[in-house]
Parts: sequence; structure tokens; C-alpha cells
Amino acid sequence: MYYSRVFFEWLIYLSMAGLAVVFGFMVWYFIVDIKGKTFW
Amino acid sequence: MSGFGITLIVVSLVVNVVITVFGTYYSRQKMQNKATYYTGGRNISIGFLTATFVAYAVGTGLIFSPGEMAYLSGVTAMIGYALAITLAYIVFTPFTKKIRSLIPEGHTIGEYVRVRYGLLMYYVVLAVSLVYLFILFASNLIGAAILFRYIGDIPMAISVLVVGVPLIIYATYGGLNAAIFTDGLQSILIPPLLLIPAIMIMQKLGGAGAVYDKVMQINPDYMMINFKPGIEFAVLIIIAVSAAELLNQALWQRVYAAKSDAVIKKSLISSALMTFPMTIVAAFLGLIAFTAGLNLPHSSIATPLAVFELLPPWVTILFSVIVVLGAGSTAGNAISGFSSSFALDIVKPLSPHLNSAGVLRVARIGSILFGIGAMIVAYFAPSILFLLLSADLLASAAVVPVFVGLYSKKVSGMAATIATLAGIASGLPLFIAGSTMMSFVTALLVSTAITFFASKVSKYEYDFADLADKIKELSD
Repeated sequence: MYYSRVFFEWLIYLSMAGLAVVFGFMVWYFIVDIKGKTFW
Repeated sequence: MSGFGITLIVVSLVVNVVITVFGTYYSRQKMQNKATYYTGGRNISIGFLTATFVAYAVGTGLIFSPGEMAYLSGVTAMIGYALAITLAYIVFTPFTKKIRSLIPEGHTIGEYVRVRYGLLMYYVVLAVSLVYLFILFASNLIGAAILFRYIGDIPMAISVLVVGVPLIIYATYGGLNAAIFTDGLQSILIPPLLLIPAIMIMQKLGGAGAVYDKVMQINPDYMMINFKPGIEFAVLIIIAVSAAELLNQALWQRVYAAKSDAVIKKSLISSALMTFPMTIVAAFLGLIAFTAGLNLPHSSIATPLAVFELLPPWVTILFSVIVVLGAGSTAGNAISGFSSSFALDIVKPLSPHLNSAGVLRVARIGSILFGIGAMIVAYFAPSILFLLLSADLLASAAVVPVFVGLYSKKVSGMAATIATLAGIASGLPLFIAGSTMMSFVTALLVSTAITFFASKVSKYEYDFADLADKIKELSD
């Protein structure tokens, strides 16, 4: 039994979208955290 | 050495200098006392903690090994690897509350094992933990070095020095705060620097569907859900990575460093979800190397070779920034984890008269020697996956005895030691003989069976209050 083409495409495209979300998420947290810090 | 190789070196040095300067500056601002060096002042919040877990996972192991396995065994291996790291963090989550409640002033996994189980088990787990950290650092150096070697045509010795020396400096002088700060930076930069090459390759090849068609044309086994090598690899990597992460000093350090239980739980689950897509994309690049018919000069180079062969040079340079950042993040964590274990678990018990300033000095010296040793191993460049799996095997034998000790009063130090050593003794011959999956399953089952047998028949009883009484904050 094989992975379907559709499943594979979804896996890759969703993962790439997930990576973009991770990037946004980390930037947001970093900004939120920096506001609370005094090391600059 | 080619001109492109020199460009790679310069870029790598600039990246390392920047993160070293910022990381060391940040850690100096934050260093309130020696304890801060080891546990970040027990005040690390969700943002940085999530960032550090994510960046920790995105080391060379993630960038190189999933691609290597996708190149060798197809899509099931790829998905298995992604699940392994995700599940490792999820499996770790419920234990963190127990660890923090039993040992609120803890620093390392070693001190827990020593107090709970005594010296014998302590030395066994310490050996496993330190071997793992050493292999982690070495494998990260190998990843960066082989990229420079086979793509930049730079001699291995120079590659290893260019990556290794700045890492040793920032981790040795900054400790955990430096590692966590640079993790924050790296976790922001790594996702887009992985995504850009992936998007460009997809555009060039005509999308994921086109890659699927090509794989089916060359070797349809790679798309088989129950392809035996893929399934075997998925099972073994899930056991391997989970066991290794549960015993990882760098993660235990972060458990103690978090502001609260809720922070740790949210950080681990968030980072578990985030590492899955990163691993898939990194592995996908290895699959692309396969469809492009690329020959690998080193088994671990599939992913960066795909980027180098299929895209313009500036993309490879960007990719090399990820590799250096990823190697820096994981290796920095390994050094920081090693230095706290070395100082607090080896030096302090042997020299109890030494004050914590002296211990800190020793920690830094130990880190430098550790780093030099890892650079020597990296120079010989064994397969990254093989190195990591050999360390993971030791962890698989130790993980159940160690964690059962948090919940069961009935398991003695002798029982835990016998269980661990029996697990290693039964798994190692199989690993050497090449039955990798069976070696992990055997090591885990043997150590688990002995631990649970001991808990049923033993008359021994441990008082858990002992843990909090004996493991205290470093104050001077």
C-alpha cells in the first residue's frame, strides 16, 4: 500500500506552511519577551 | 580550497562572532550568581524556553539525518524521524512536573540519580549522559564540517576549527544563559533559512507532486507505507530519540530553569508541534537528492547537496548559515549541559572543599577539553546517524530505571544499575552486528523487565523527601 500523491503533497505543503507559522510564532514571542527584559 | 569555500568560511565566522558577542554580553548582564550559570536563574519564560527547545532540536542531527534516511529509505523513514523528535518532547512533558516537585532546587540529572540510587548507578548514568553530550557536539561539528568539506572544498581541519572554536568560547563563558539567548536568535532565523531553499527547489522541480511522480518512477518502494526498512527505522528512531532526550542533561537543565510548571508544559508541547514540519522539510530535501540521482560523497550530506546542486550559490550560503546556527545551537547546549554535569556531578563530589567559584572555573576548563575532544572526532567524520544511534542505545537501556525511580519507592540503586547494565549488555552485540532496531527494542525491554521485577519483589523502600533535603541551591 502506497502513500497517495495527494497525501504526500499535503504533507509537504502543510509542513512548509507550518515552518512559516513557526517563524511568525518565534518572532512574536521574541518581541513579547524582549519587552519584558532589561538587558538591552 | 575554492573561492566559494572561502566565502563559506567568512560567512560562518561572521555568524559565529555575532552570536558569540551577543550571547556572552547577554549572559554577563544576567549573571547574578554562579547558580545562574547552571540554571539561568530559574526564571526563563515561555518565549525563550520554547525557542531553546526548538533551536535545540534543529541541530545538525535534524538537518542532516532525516535527509540521509529519506535518501536511503523513503517516506516512512522521513515521517518516522519527524515523529521521533515530536514524541520525545511530548513523552518528556508529564515527567517535568514530577521532577520539579520532588527536586525544586535541582540542577542536573546526575545529582538526582546520585541521591536516589547511590554512587554506582550515578556513575553509570553519568557515563551515558556525558557520552551522549560528547557525541551530540561531535556530530554537530561533523555536519557543519562535511558541508564545508564537500561543498566548499575546504580541508576538514579548517572546517572543524572555524565552527568549533567560537562555539566553545560562547558556551564556556556564558553557560546556560548564553546558550538560551543564542537559541532565541537561531530559532527565529532557522525556519525561513530552511523554507527558502525548499520553496525554490519546489518551484524548479514543479511541485511536491512532481517529486512524488519521480520517486514512484525510480523506486516505488520509497512511497510504500509499510516498506520494511522504513518501518524498522521509524520504530528504532522513535525509541532512540525519546530515550536520549529523557536523559538529556541539557533538557533537565531547562526543566529546572523554567519559571513554572505551566511554562515548561506549554514550551515542550509547542516545540514538539513545531519540530515536526521542520524535520519533514529537511528530510524532503534528502528525498529530492535521491530523485536528482545525486551521489553522496558522505552518507550524511544528502540535504545540503540537494541545495548546492539544484540552486544558485547564494542559496547554499544561506543554507550554510542554517547549518552553522543549528550546529551552534545544539553544540552550545551540549557544552553547557556537559559543563554543569562535569562541575556539579564529577568535580564537586570529588572536591567538596572547593567553593562554587572554583567549581565554575573547573567547569570552563572541562568544557574546553570536551570541545577539543569533539573536534578531534569530528575531523574523522563518521556517519552522523551512526554516532547518534550508538549514544541513543546506551540511553535506551538507562531511561526506564532512571524514571521509575521518580515514582516507585521499591527500586533500589543496585536493581537500577543491574537493569541498565543488562540492557546495554543485551543490546550492544545486536547493534554491532547490524540489527539496529532489535538492539534498541532489546535494550529497552530487558532493562524495563528487570526494573519492574525488582519493584515487585523488593522489600526496599525509599523516602522521596530525601531528594529535596539533599539537593540544594548553590548560594555562593
